[in-house]
Formats: sequence, C-alpha cells, structure tokens
Amino acid sequence: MKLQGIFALEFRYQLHRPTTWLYFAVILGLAFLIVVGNYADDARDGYFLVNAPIVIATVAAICCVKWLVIGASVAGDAAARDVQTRMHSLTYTAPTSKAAYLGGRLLAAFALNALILLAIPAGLLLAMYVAGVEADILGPFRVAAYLTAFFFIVLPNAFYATAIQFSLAALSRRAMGSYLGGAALFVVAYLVWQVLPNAGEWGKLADPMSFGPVLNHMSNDWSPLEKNTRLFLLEGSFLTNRLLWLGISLGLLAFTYVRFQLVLPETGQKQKPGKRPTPAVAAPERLNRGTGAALPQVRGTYGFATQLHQLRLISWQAFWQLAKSRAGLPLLAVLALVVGLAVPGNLKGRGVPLLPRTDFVLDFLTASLTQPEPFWVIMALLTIFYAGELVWRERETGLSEIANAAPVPEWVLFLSRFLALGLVLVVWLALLMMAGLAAQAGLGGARAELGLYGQVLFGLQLVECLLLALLALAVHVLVNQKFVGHLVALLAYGGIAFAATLGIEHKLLVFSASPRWTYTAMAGFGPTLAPWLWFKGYWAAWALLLGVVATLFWVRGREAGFAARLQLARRRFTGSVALVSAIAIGSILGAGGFIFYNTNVLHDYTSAAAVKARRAAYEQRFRQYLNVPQPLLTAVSLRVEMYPKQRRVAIQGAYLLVNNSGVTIDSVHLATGVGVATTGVSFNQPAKAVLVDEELGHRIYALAKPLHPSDSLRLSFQVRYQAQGFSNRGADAQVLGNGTSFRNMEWLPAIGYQPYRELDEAGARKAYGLPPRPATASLYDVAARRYAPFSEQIRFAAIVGTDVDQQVVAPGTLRRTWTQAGRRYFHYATDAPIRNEYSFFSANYAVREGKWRNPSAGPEQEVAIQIFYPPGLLENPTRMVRSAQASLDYYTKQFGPYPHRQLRFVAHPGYDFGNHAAPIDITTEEGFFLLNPKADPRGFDLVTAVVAHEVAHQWWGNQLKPADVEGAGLITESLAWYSAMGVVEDKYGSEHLRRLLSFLREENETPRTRAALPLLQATDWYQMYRKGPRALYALSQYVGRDRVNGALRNLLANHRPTTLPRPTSLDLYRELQTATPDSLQPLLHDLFKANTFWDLTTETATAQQLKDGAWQVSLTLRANKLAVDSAGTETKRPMKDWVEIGVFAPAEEGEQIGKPLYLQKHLIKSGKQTLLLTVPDKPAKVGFDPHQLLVDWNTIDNYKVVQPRN
Amino acid sequence: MGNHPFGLTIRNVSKRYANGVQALNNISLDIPPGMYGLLGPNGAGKSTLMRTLATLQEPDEGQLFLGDLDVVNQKEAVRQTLGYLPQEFGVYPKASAEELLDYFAVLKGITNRTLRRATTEALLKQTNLWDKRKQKLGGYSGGMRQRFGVAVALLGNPRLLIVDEPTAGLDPAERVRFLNLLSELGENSVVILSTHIVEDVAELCTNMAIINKGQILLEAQPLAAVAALKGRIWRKLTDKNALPALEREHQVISAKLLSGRTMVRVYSPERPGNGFEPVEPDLEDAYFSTMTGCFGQTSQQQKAEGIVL
Repeated sequence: MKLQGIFALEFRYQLHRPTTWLYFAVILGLAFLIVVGNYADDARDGYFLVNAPIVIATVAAICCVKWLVIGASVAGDAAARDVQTRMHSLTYTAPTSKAAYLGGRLLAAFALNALILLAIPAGLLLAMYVAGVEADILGPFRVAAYLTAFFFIVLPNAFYATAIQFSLAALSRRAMGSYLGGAALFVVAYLVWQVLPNAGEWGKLADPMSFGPVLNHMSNDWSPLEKNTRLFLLEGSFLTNRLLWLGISLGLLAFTYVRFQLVLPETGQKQKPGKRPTPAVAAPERLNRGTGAALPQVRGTYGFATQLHQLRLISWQAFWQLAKSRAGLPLLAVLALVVGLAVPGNLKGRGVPLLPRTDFVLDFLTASLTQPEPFWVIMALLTIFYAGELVWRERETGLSEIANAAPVPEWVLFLSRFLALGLVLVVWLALLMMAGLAAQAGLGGARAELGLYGQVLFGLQLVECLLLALLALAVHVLVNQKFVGHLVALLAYGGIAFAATLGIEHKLLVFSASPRWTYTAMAGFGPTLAPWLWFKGYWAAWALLLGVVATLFWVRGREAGFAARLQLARRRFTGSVALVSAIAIGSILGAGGFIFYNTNVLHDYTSAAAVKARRAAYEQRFRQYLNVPQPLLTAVSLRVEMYPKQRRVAIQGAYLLVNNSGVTIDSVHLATGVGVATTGVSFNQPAKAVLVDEELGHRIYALAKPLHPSDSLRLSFQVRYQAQGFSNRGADAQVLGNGTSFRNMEWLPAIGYQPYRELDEAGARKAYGLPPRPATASLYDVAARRYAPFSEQIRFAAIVGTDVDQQVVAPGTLRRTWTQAGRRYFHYATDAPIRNEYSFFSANYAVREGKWRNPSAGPEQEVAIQIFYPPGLLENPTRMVRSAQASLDYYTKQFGPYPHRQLRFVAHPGYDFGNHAAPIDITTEEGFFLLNPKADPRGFDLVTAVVAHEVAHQWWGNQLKPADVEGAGLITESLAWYSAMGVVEDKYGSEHLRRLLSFLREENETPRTRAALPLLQATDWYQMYRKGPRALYALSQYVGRDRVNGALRNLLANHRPTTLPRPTSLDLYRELQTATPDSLQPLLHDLFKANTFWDLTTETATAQQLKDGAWQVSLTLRANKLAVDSAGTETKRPMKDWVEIGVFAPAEEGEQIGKPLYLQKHLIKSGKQTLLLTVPDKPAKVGFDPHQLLVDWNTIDNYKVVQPRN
Repeated sequence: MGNHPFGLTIRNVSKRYANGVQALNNISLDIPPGMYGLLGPNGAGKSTLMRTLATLQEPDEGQLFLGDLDVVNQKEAVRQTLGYLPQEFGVYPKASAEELLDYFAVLKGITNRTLRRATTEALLKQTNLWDKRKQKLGGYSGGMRQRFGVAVALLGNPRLLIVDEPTAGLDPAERVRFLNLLSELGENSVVILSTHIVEDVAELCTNMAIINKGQILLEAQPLAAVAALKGRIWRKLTDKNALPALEREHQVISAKLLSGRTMVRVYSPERPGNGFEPVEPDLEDAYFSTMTGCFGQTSQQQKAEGIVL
C-alpha cells in the first residue's frame, strides 16, 4: 500500500538522521536530571517516594512540554521537507493520493515522536535504578505507573502536538510552522499552569498537554498517600481533556487534508490575480548587440567607511525583513498588548490593586535571563528563532553565493545580524514601554516616570536582551544546522535559566548572570547597580569574544566541515582580530578578577551547599552546649553610629546578664553575628576566651569567678559592619544611602547555643550525618517547650547617630535628639521590657502621627502612633493610624494592656507588601503603602485588616511568645487574625467582617490536599493564616466571642513573658476547653485536635404558607464528617454536631442573600434527615451552616433555593 | 602562456569532498583576459572550480592567482574585483530589481549615491530590465532573473567574472541576448564561462578548457582545436543495431538520431572506409573526441609514445 510505503520511507529517513537521536538523548537527559536533581531531594526530605506514580507522571508532563520546542522539527520536516528541498515537483506529481501522502507522513512523524518520547521512561528508569538512588526512598517497582504515564499523558500529548505541528507546517509549507506551533503550545502550557489555581475547570481543558493539572496534583491537591500510590488514570476532567483535544486534533487534521493541495506552492495558493507578470518573452525586444552604452566603469571603493556603510545597509535590510514578517513586529505588538493587559492583574498585593507607580510596573515588566518569567520565556524563544532566521535567510533564499562573493568582511556580516536583532529588541522594549505607560494611564493614580522607563528598559533590560541575542546568533553560526542550532540555543537558554537548580550558582559561571538590580522610589537603585554593571561588563566581554569566534567561523561558502572551518578561521585571524580578542580576554580577566575578588575574597562565597555544610558543622560541634545553663539577657544598651553613605555601621554594646538558672555558671557561650566583625568582647570581671570559632560564629568565655544564682554580669562588645563591594548575591541591602535597616538577630551577639541555626531539611540532615528530627519540633516534645529564639525580655536603650538629613527609628521613647559634628543623634529607651528583637532604621521619612488614649486609664496611658512612610503616599498612613487606634482600643479591652507608649509602622524599601511586627516597631515593606483598597473590587479594606493583625502581634508573639514547636503559628498568626476580626467587626461593622471572612476563604478555592496535621500542630501558611483564624471564629460563634476572648485573656495572664516552659497550642487549647460548654467540647476537638471535614448538603427545601400567614419550610439535609490524617487517610466519624440552619428572605437588590428569617443551631447526625421549620415571611433560600463555620470545602451545595410545595 | 598581469593562474589544484568524490584532481590552467570557456559534462568539477575561484571554497592543495592576488589567502582583495553568477541562485521575492541591485551595489563597495544610481541604471538598461525595474523579483521569469544575476555580477566592473552554466535554463532568444551581453565585457577582464553547451563556447570564447572527472583533458583555443581535427572526423548514416559493431571497430565520438536512423561520427586519422564520408569538424567534435579520449593532451601524448613504438 502506498501509505505504508510513504510511512516507511519517512520513518527510516528521519530515523537515520542524527538529530532524531539527539532529541532522544536530550529528552533522556532531561528526565534523568529532573529526577536526580530535583525529585530525589524532595524524596529524601520525605515528601514522597522517588518512584511514586506522581513523580513519573510529573516528569513525563514536564518533558513533554520541553519536547514541544526541542523536537518540533520532526513533524515540521515530515510535512514541509519536500517543498523546502524542492523535491515536491517529484513527490507531488507522483500518482499518490493526498490521503496516503499526508497520512503516511503524519503517522511517521507521530511514530518518530513517540519513539523520541520513549526517552522519558528510559531516563526515569536510568535515574531511579542506575544513578545510585538510595533504596529507602524507592518504593516497589510498578510497571503500571510507567504505562499509565506513557499511554495517558505522553502518547496523547505526542499525538496532539504532532497533529498541530504537522498541520501548521503542511499548510504554511514551512517547517518553521511546526516550531511556532510547538512554541505556542509550550507557552499555553505554562500560562495555563500559572492561572490554573484560579481558572477552575476550563483551565484543565485549555491545555492540550495537561501540564498544569499534572503539576498541581504534585504540588497541591493530592495527599502524600495519593502521591505514592494513586495511578494517573483517564478520569474526570483529565479524560475530558484527552477526548476534547483528540477531537480538536482530528478536526485540525481534517481541515489540513481539505486545504492541502498537491500542487506547487507558487501556484497553489492565493496568487493575487493580475499580479503575475506577463512572461518577458512576449515582448519583442530589440537585441542591443553592442549598440547600447558601454558597461559602467565604476569600481567600488573599499575601506572602513565603506564597511560602515555596508554594515548600516545590511543591518537595516535584515532588520526590516525580520520586522515585517508575521512573526516580527506584528507578533511583538500582540505580545506587548498581552503584557499591557496583564499589568493590572499582576500589579496587586494579596489581591489588592496597587497604585501603578513606575518602579513597581517596571519590576513586573523586566526580568533577567536567569529568571524564566512567562513572557520573557516567550521573548527568549523568539530571540532564538529570529537569530536562526537572520543567520539562515540568505542561504534559504539562495542568495548566499552571490552575497558571499561580495567584498564584505565577515565582521560586517555577523555584526549586521546582531544589530538587526538588537534593533528588533529595541522595538520590542519600546512596545513594552508603551504597554506599561498605557497600563499606568488606564489604572491611574501614579505618575509615569519616562526617564526611569528609559533607564530601566533601554539601559538595563536591553543588555539582558542583547546578551541572549548574541549567544543565539553565535550558536547558530557555530552549529551551522538550523534545527540543531535552535536546539542547542534552547538548551543553552535552559542551562542559563535553570543553572541554580542544577547546582551552578556562581554567577561568573552562568552566561549573562548577575545579581538583580532593584529600584524603588524610596531607595533608588541603591548599591544594586554596581555589581550588576560589573557582572554585565564581564559577560559583555565574553559576548564580544563569542562574537569574534562566531565571526571567525562565519560560514561563507560550502565549507561546512569542521577541519575546513577551522582552517578558514585560522586564516581570518588577523592582527585586528587578535587585538579585539585580546581586549575581550583582557576585560574578561579584569572584570572577572575584580568580581572574584569581591565575591570570594571580600565575601565568603557560600553556595547553598556550603551554607548547609556550615549549619551542619555548627550543630555537630556546638549542640552539646544546648542545655548548658546560661545567664539571661535582661538589658541592652547600645551606641550605634550609622554612616549610610559609606555603608558602614559601628556599634558599641553592653548586655546585662543575670543568672536565674538556679545553678552556678562558669562559662558564657556567645553566638556572634554573621557578616560583621565582633570585637572587644569583655566582661565586668576577668574572663578568658576558651573557644573562638569565627567561621561558625560561636565563642566560649570561661569566667574567672563563677556566676552565682541571681548574680549579674556585664558584657561589653563592639560590632562593626562595613559593606564590602558585593557578593555573588549582590550588594548587601541592609545599609543603604536611604532606607537603612538592620536587626539585632543578624548582627549582635546572642547568648548560648542557637537551635534556629540548625539544618532542618530531613534529606540534608541525613546527608551530613545528623540525627533525624522533624523540621519543626513536635508539639508533644516536652524538652523543646523551653526554647524560642530571641524570647528574652529586655530593657533597651540606644543612642544612634546617622547622617544629618535622616531620621532614626528604634524601639522605645525618643528621649532626645541633637546634632553634633554634622551628624544627627537619637536617644531611644523603652519604658517597659520588650522581647529581644529590634531593628534600627535610618532614612528620610515622612511621618504621620496619631494618638490613642486608654479611655479607662489616666492620661499617662497615652500611646503615640507613628507611621514612618515613603514621602508622597499619604493615603494608607491615614488608614493605618485609624486602624491602629481601633486595634489598641479593642485589644486592651479584650486581652490586656499595651505596655508601651509608642506604636510605630516603619517603611522598608523593596517590592514586597508584608509587615513584620517586632515589639513597638512594625516593619512595613514599601509596597504596602501602594496598596489601593479603594480600587479593590471585593470592596474590602485589606490595609486596615492587616494593620489590626500586626497590632495584635504586640500581644500574640511579642507578649505571648510560644515555644518553637508545631502549632506556634496558631498562637501568633491565627490569634492575630482572629483578634483583627474583632476590631473589624466592632469598628467597621459586620459587613466588613463578612468581607474579611470571605477574603480568608479565598484560599479554599485553590485545590489542595485535605491531608494535614490537626490545627494544634499547624506549621504551614494555610493553616496558620487561614484555617486557624476561621476555626477560632467558628468557635466564637458557637460559644460566644466574649468567652473565647476571656480564654485568650487567661492564656496571656497565665504565661507571662519570662516563665518557662513557654506556652504552646496545647495551653491555648486548655484555656479554650475551660471556656467551652460540655455540649460543644466535641466541636472544639474537631476544630483543633483533629483535621476534620464536614460535608453538608441541602438536598431539598420546600415551603408552604400556613393559614396564619407564616410559612412552613421542609428541609432534607445530608451530613457527613471525616477525619483526615497527614498522609491522607480518611476516616468517617459519626456526626452529632450542632449546625446552624438559616432560612433567608428574598435578597434585596445588590445583595447576595436576603435577611435571615430563621437562624438556629440544630443537632445534626450523620446521613440524611429532614427538618420542619416555621418562619414568619416568605422564604427564598435556605442554608445549611450558612456562615460556613464548619470546614466544608464544597459550600455551594449547602444552599438551596426554596421551592413552593403543593 | 606565462603569467599575465591580469590573468588567472591555477596551479596544481585538488579538491576531494568528504564523501570521497575527487572533484578536482591536480588542475593547472592559465587563463588570459578575455572570454574563457570551461566545458565539461555535469559533475565534471566545473562548479567546484568556479566556486573555488569565487572564494567560496578552499582547495585541498594548489594555488590560484588572479594577477598577483592569491585567491586563497587574499579573498577580500579578490572579492573586490570579482563578479560571480552562480549556477543556481535565488532572490528576495518581495524586493524589486532596482532595490536589490542597489543593495548589492553597496555590498560591492559603490557607496557614492550618485555613482551607484548611474551604475545600476546603466546595468539595468544593459540587461534590458530597465522597464521592469520596479517589479518584484518573485514575478520574474527565469531569463529575467538570470539577466538580473548578470547585472549583479557586473557591478563594480569586475576584473574576474565567473559565470557558472548561465544559459542552462534560458530559451533561445534569452540565450542570444545573454551571450551578447557577456561578449561586451572589457578586454582587460577575465571572464570564465562554465557550460556543458558547446555552442556557447564556440561562439564566444577565445580560449577554452575541457574538464572531466576533475581533470583537464584539453586546454586550447577553440578554432585551433577545430583546425587540429581537420580531416580526422568522419560520418556515416547507419542503423541503430549496427552501432555496437561500429563501436568495436572505430573510435565513435558521437551518435545522433537523424530521422529514424543513426548518424555516427568517428575519429580517425585516416579514412575509415566503407561508407564513411569526411566532414568539416566543429567544436562539438573536438569536445566529443576529447571526452572519448582520442583527442587532447593525454591522447596526444599516447600517440607520441605509439610512434616511438
């Protein structure tokens, strides 16, 4: 049969091509590396077995998506090779049917792709059974895991991709069509994955590769048990996806079959009528035999000026050809438009729109090559594609022999391509700038800073773009085979983007890598620009060298063999080339040397592995001192000199240490700060340093005279910090020209062994021979309850000097401020003890002040509220003062007094939005001041709520400091949010509270596994910040807010800051138990002590009007309760719980739900049950647990519209 | 012939491709200014030699000189006086002849705008493309495209013009026009015309070489070569099936079908007898005699040896 013959010929042809096997090798390597470099480590940390079905499925999905761009030439070649090699005049005229021709070629491409993708299971098997993976992270070998992944994920993906790529290539008659198709699928896969958590069902269908859904099972919504055991089967939306795309693929193939014509491309399609010239022969031409003018005698002039002229012309010509192609400017304009439209959605903090200040917009618009941000990945792919076109265009048109014989030097030929590509990139950046400006104008509320756009886009971002452009061009020139060139360039880009993951961290080793610059209005570029420039200069020198090499190897004829090209390159290596190379090499050595001096001599170059090794060594050497009795830090007195411009800080400190251990202490252990020099350590009695480990930061001083119980000791020290150039991560961002801040935790000595410096990850602990332990100490580990980092209560005083135009913020009352010798000094002292965590700030702030007076206390109980904010952003400071006042009001009433006389929010420069609540002074990231709650479509003021949350930390976390064990976050974060709810409710009304609750529920819409530890052992973000607060709120709705708050008040009173052992979530639970009536004890247990899920459904709801005008409502309810453990095992629990039932009147205009006609708790059992209620007015809707107090992830079926009953 | 100041000297040039084909085998030629024909069958090595002369390929061994320029080591200088029309070439289909010619004029170093305009205008007129200069090259016929190629090759008044099989796809009228154009080239330029069409050489070239399987079989002036064959070419009209027998007995150099019968031409210093009649030799006879090995440098040598014997 003909189809068989065509299939066999194509299959054999491509099978014998080295590229086919190159693709196989690359995919194999990729699968291998993903397992060995990534999932094996996760498996060692105990997340899953390394050969769990989910790992196999995930690796398959990732490799499939990468294959889209790597192996696109297979389908493209099968579809378009005949036209491109001009063989179509033979094949098209052969007596073959279109079906056999297309079918044979398509099936061959599919078979070849399937063969290439067999590299995935091969790579997986190699990684798991040959690479030396330990047996204890391997589960039993299950062939079904490989088969399901290959036949349900890989093979369908291969078919859809082949069909799409083949169709595009066949219809465009260019193999490049296949590449563009592959790249588009690649981009779709990543984009859909990014938006998937919020996209719901359509997102799972939109991506033919099913990339996002597979990865989400891995990261979110499968429990550990499911990850290890569940096979990837064709079910649910995955099956729908497979069928949908099978249909679309077949439809596309049918369309291709109809549209494709076995005729010559020049005559086949859309030839504009009348455009075709009449053959020249038709015109009887006079033979100008010698009668015409003599041939022109003009000769060319040669020299540098001519070469520049040629450079300009060729660059412009190449640029213009690229720009006007469909994949040129039109595509870039569309991409810029998409980016512009994406700005509003991305310019948000916690879902709150930001004022579109230029620095934040630019942070979104830019990315370095080492950060694979979605649209920059597209840009990188396009750059590689453009480079291929520029290098190959002349050869593909057949013009190369004429052009190459022209007297144009190679450097002009190469440089003109680079300039053309550079020009395209400049246009792209201009489009991007327009997108940014348009987005800013559309959003409103911030001024567009054109100068900053220019600096950032055409100064900084352009360099990133040009470096990749040069790399891509050089690769294409050197490889000299278009598709392999694309592949090598892609691999090079992948290597750059994922170098850190592969363990190559030093930026001197990763092409184009540099520390990232930052620019915010508050701190400007700060010290980030200098290291950036050095690194980029270094890489630009490399790029120059690369350009020279590419010029030397520029192909100018038919000499494609390596030896011939080498010989030619040698011949081209003239004096000027040598000079340029020497300059490049000199710059590489010079800049590289300077960088190395900075990163490795001035700074300890510590890779991630070295950091781990250091932590491990610290534990191994010094953990023996964990329980050695140590004196307690009780007072801190500092003299700080900051020199922001010189980026230098000098600190003289004195600690007052008291022996309250009950035994005599003969030595003091000092944990010194990192990145600073600690000197002059002395005691007010003779002491000898018996151990000084500068590298690990541990010292032991033997006291000449032992310290008896209750005796005290004075420790003096000096700490010096001087920013030294830059490290591999860039310049230190602690001491800045404007916006300095540093903490005691990093710089100042701490007393005793510091468990927080230990290594936590299970895999790493094992690798360094440390005994296994959970990452966070168990709630039931009694010994661990004595420790919490930096939990001492101290009296604090400091005199701080800084530049005369800056303001210093430190904890306590500002006693005095003065100017001396051109510097400004501030004297701060606390009025009440604070926890041993404090920061110093120095910047040019604007200040917004407010006061709060305790209504039930005297006038001395006045608290000054100060917001130190970046000048120009007044709106949020006003909100913050109001919220802080309301918070102080509520918390002092509910939980106990606020011990300090100030409460401050201090801005810290940066792109973040978070806050950190140290005692008195709360650090607020610059982005927080840009949040614009007025524009929030949720009608919700997150700024006010977050401020209330941070103020609550002055109680939860600063007064009540929990032990560093599981569930600590329940005491700090959950209680802070729960407290903030009270503020919001009392001060801003229940509607505001409803919106806050709904904000806290948003996270539930993200699919996630139900497997978790009970709340009392909470360690993850979701439990601490979202589930915990709602559980506390639910309890307050059942037992009453006052009783819960009373329990919290007792908790605070019973655990004063210095008492040991430190409080845990069990203490909180005990207080809540005391406050909860017996009938609700089971609920308390279910909320906190078990990971409980309710499944509440209203099956039917009918109503009938009674004779007296009231309505009788009849409900059928179904209820179930489950407990899920941390592995994901689900256990049914008998239910006998009080659940709220609500009946609601019709909703008013603009409301979601009407006024409640009935709201009562009923005792609900497991299973189906019916209820009869009587309500005064006509009911519209009923809700089973309408306020969603119980944990039920599917709340839609809780509600039912009431049907009239006959 | 000696080393002419503007002539082309090729010395012991060899080239073997990676696939083992010996494209050029120790070739030496002296090419004086004027038209020079390089005649040979397809695959003889003509294009390899042409591309080597056009600086697009490197010989494995040997040297090539244009005047005193070393073609291998002074490529840039050679390109400045080179015009090259490859056997096959494409164009940017969306560019007009005028635009693309202007582009190439800059590549050829004509940077002065006025001069360039004058040059391109003259060349477009010369190649009869002036009326079609605004038309997109994608719509050009084969002959027009070929003439456009000539215009490009003639830019900058080259001292070395290499035209590789230029008449291959041309209709007779185009071909005539094309050859006329070539013949107008300056006397100081070396014009190398590679072709497998004997008439091209016969009509135009003052010197020629016949090349096959990478070797030069004959280096001669066409008229002299034809004259040397005088009295040695005989023809006979015969049946097709008599051909094998004739081939055994005689040096058959060509056999053409002529209205159902076969016209056989043989090479023979004496009258071969039985039905053969003498014919006036033409260049085609010289070509075929050379190809079949009865005429040319090697065969003359053999003959000399034969006389000794």
